[in-house]
Amino acid sequence: MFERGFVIVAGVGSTSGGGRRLRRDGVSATVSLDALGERVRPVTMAEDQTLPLLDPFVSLLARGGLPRGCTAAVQGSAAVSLAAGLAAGPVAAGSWAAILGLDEFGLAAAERAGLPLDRVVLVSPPPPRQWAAVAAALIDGFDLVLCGPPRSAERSAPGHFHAGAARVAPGDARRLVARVRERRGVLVQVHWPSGCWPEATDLVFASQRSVWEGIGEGWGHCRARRVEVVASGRRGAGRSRREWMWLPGDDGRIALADAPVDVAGFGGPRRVAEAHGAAARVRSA
Amino acid sequence: MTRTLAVLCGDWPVRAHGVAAGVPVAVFEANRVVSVTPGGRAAGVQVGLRRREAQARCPEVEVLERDLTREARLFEPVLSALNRFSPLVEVSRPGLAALASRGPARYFGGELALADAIGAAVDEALGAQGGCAVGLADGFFAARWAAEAAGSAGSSCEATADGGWGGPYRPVVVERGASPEFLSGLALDCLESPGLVEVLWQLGLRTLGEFAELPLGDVVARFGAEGQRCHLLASGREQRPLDAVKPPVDLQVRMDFDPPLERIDQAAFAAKALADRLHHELERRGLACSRVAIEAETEHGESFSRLWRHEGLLSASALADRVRWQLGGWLGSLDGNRPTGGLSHLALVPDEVGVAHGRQLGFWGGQNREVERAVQAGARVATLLGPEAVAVPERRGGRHADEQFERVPLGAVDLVARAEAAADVVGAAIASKRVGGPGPTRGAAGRGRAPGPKGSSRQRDPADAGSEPWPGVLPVPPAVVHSPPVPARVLDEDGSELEVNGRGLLSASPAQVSLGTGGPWQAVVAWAGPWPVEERWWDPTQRRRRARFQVVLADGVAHLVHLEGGCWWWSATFG
Repeated sequence: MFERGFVIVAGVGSTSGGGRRLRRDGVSATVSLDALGERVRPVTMAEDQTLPLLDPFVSLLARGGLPRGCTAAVQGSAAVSLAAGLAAGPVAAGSWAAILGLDEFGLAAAERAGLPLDRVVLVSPPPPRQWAAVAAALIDGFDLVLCGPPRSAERSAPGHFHAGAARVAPGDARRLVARVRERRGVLVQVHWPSGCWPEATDLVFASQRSVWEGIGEGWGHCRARRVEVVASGRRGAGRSRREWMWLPGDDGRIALADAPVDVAGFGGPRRVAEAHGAAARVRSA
Repeated sequence: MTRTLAVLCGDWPVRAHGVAAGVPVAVFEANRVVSVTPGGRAAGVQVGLRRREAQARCPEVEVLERDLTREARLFEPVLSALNRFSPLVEVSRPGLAALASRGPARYFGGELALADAIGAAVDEALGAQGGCAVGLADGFFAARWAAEAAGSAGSSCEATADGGWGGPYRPVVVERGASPEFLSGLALDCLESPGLVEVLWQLGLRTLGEFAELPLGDVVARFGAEGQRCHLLASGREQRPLDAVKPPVDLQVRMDFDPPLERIDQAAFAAKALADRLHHELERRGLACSRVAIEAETEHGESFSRLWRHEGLLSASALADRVRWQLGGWLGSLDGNRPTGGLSHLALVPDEVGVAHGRQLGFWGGQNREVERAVQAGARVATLLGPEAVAVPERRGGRHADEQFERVPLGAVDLVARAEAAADVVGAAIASKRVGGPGPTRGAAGRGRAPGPKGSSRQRDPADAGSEPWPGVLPVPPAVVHSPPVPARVLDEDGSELEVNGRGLLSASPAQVSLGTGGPWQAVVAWAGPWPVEERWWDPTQRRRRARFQVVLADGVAHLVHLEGGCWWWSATFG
């Protein structure tokens, strides 16, 4: 095996020429080992360290994928759809995802957005004092952990994400971040209230304005939605990037969208809605 | 080749519920019929039908959920009866057991006499639910299908005449050496390997005999280890590894409990850990086991041991299930064997060990490491939070967002098998495309097919999962589902509560919505509805009538609210 390696090294020496000079009278052992190391080093390291994302999300991140070993937060009114969309890419490519403490997670919508439910495990909300232990166990086994904030059962109000949310102890948070980094997974915090997580997350996906299409005053139904998504963060993200997305689009899939005509308010559909509403009122009168 | 006697209690899942044979009753698992009474079969209900189809064919059919623990517990008397004939009784699943018959047959004066005696003993043990079929042949596979043949021959003439489960059936004894001939007439489905059977069917094979005529080498070359296993079965040869060795003593894994375990699920958890250890140990030595004995002992020294077999490899969770069944049966036994104390000792003893040839991973699977990691983490969380807390989603179908999926506890599913099944669905679809025609045209057909979008073959098409859209379902599923629904209030522009009359007409347009008890009032920007739905109107206890609305509020978020029984409810958010 070593002999074969040596042949390759000789090849490197003769062709590369530039920075590293090999001695003419014989190849020194250290240089050849260095060169061998260079040669056998995986060439796709950056690739390896990201999880593949659905196409619309690629343009949001500088590296085109979700960096392994990072924590991410998903916020705003469309947080749950966004989280499902983020998870869809890695899970479709073979990763497993755990969903912790999000009993409200709409599985049908997630499946329609492209998340294969074969590789999804659901965990009920643990009591706050056990939350960190459960999250740590899940990080060990799953590439992707989507989690809601720790919530105490007696103070939580159904339907409200933030009610009864408890704070994660700073020590626990630090240990979890270290664990995520070590296990090369991704921890996605879905719709956490500010202050529950003492650290800053590496990435933040915020859904800001959203416009529904297909529904007016008394007619149609919610058919598709455009959401403005802003990605910012510390690692791999750099400057913040902003995209309008169909979340979901007409066919249920997530896609990039053009900005609506009037993005200041909810003018696009609203104006149409008003026109139709007026017509309807006239008819009924 | 071991002379084997198989005892089959047909339709065991439904029989274990203690229903009469003449009444149409069907047992369902994952919305499919798994077992049906003769009465139901006469009315057209078949195994494999969906619930709706079954009810369409036979509206009065009674629907029961499958209860594996109960099946195992009620099968225990049968095993006790068999133990009087031979100490080594092996259980494949509740309803099917086998024993090596050479010794007992000599003692009881011939194979037919033994089969008759066992049939009578089992019928007596089962009482009103009696009626078992006995088959005797070379090897387990042939014996099992001989028993199957005995049962079906009986049921065709006399079974449902008196409303009982039929029987006593005439046992079928296949002479020594005649197993290949007996098997050759059976249909391919007997192999119970759906993916392979489908491909063989498309190749024009219909019976086991035709499959067995193929040269073994070619079958192995094309279908790998699975093909070899099935070919051996079909040609009536022993499917157990020929190089089976007696395991060295130290292969068994045992665990002592102090304090003793009081509950069966605790024991099942411990068994899972034990099974992991056993697998690890076997793997290290390059061995695989196809039969395992589970030995349990209580603090008062009572012990109970049973042999379990499995055609493939027993996974850790499958072993844990068998521990649960065995202990459940022990606790439920009526004779003097009932344990009096907690469980202090549990051991798994591999009984029949062969060289592991490795399971050939399909071309499209091979993600077992990921699955095992996930299973281990899931089991760890289950020990922290309890077995119900970790679940996988399973599609159930339904009109409302909170009915479409059910959470099935992780302990109740075999994730490895589930992932493989998902891969098999994709694999079988691809395979069936590949073997479309004879050689020369195959390439042309392959080229003619338009390549699908990249990655689409990976994920299961929701339409393939057997989920036709339900009538009345909303076209876009909500991303956040509140289950149970949360109280809400909806007001019109005058500030009075919005109402829907009996004809589904609104009193006014909704203007303000308050979500949750005492939630802030928010203006309605757009709305649609009402979409009335009346469900189970024929059933006074379960009937529901509701009118659904979508409302988009000033913050751009859309919600689903509904009016039911005069109250408004917030059922989902398009978050």
